Amino acid sequence: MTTAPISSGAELAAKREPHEDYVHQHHWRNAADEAEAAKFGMWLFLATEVLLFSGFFCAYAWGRMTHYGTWREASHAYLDWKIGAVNTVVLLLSSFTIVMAIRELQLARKWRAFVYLGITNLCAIFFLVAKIALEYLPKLQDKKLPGANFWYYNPHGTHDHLFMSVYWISTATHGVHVLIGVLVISWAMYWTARGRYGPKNFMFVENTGLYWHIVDVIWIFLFPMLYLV
Amino acid sequence: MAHDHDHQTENEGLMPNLEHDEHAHDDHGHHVHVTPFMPMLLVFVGLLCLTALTLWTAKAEYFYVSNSVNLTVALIIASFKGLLVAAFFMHLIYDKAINTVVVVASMFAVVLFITITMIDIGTQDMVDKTEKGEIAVGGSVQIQVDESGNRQVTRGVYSPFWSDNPGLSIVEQAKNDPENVKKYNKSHAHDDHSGDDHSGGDH
Repeated sequence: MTTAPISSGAELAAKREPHEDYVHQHHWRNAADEAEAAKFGMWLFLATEVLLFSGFFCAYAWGRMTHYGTWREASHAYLDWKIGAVNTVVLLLSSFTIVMAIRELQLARKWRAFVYLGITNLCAIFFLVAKIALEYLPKLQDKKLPGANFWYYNPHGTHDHLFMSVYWISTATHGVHVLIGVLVISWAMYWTARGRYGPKNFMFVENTGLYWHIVDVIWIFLFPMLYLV
Repeated sequence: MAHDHDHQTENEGLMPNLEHDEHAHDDHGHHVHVTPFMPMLLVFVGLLCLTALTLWTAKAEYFYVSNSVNLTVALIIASFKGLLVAAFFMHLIYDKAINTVVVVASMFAVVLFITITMIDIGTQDMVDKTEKGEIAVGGSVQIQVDESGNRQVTRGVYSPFWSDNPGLSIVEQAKNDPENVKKYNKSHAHDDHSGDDHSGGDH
């Protein structure tokens, strides 16, 4: 066999990536049905995620109504809105980059998709590091802990510990979701590099994106509620 | 070989074709909507602007109206941001409507939970008053009396518990009813006279 230029059929056939030969599972009529069903399943899961966090929003509404003044004062006293604002921008950026990663996969440009997923993952890790290093650890040292473990070193109100309970449970649950997101995006990065995802098969990355967006949306609500007003 | 050749031509045609009409096709004619770049970038910029707006309205002194008004403003901006993310980043406007149905259903549940929580907390201080008979949910009765003290007209008055002058309970209404006052005085006149020595001077 003669040495062919890179664009020849033989060369391309040798370089075929796994996603080019993707065939939908046999119990689906076609790939479109499979992709839509997977997406719908993801949306149902996201609905349960929204309901999970709605409990925390109810707790917030309760505290806001029963401890009207101290709720706001505790928020201003113990939380730094600048950290929250930076983390908000970082999460928005990561949402945008994961959208772009899916676009690049649809256009069969896997390394661009890989880089976008990498930026998303770096944003997620930045969020977690900022959260733990700048918020959680100082608060642990300061004994600004939820509920009965809260230490009134310099109290701003009589119900600050209730605010901190809502703060800890909602941001920690959100943080766990970010951590899971890091793992799932890492998985998506690995298989993107291996060529599993492309125009015919980007379902996994798309669902990862949906999950990541819901984590972002929840933070969009938590940020003003806890840090700002 | 023929099979390979088919794939080759498809591959060569794939990239420029995609760049041109932004739609990819798989072997079964499955139409894949390729995420457009510009709308997504605009949404991202819009989200950053709305974040700045939230910070501004929450932190600027001259924007402070009251605790609850500023919370409402912040939540409206956050809802708009969430709407943008859901519609564009999460592809809802490009997808089948059934996905939106799931979102709307879960949002309905969230609003329901929070509303019920708030109604419950907002009316908790009414519970004691209602149980003690100090107020009645739903209003009261207005009784008009003539010169001789007889009841002439009885009218329902809409004065719910959240009004300034909430309606009296059934017990309170009955006590104020002149017919009942007469009966009460008649039946208790003897008791009042003999039972209480200190009130003897009044009679």
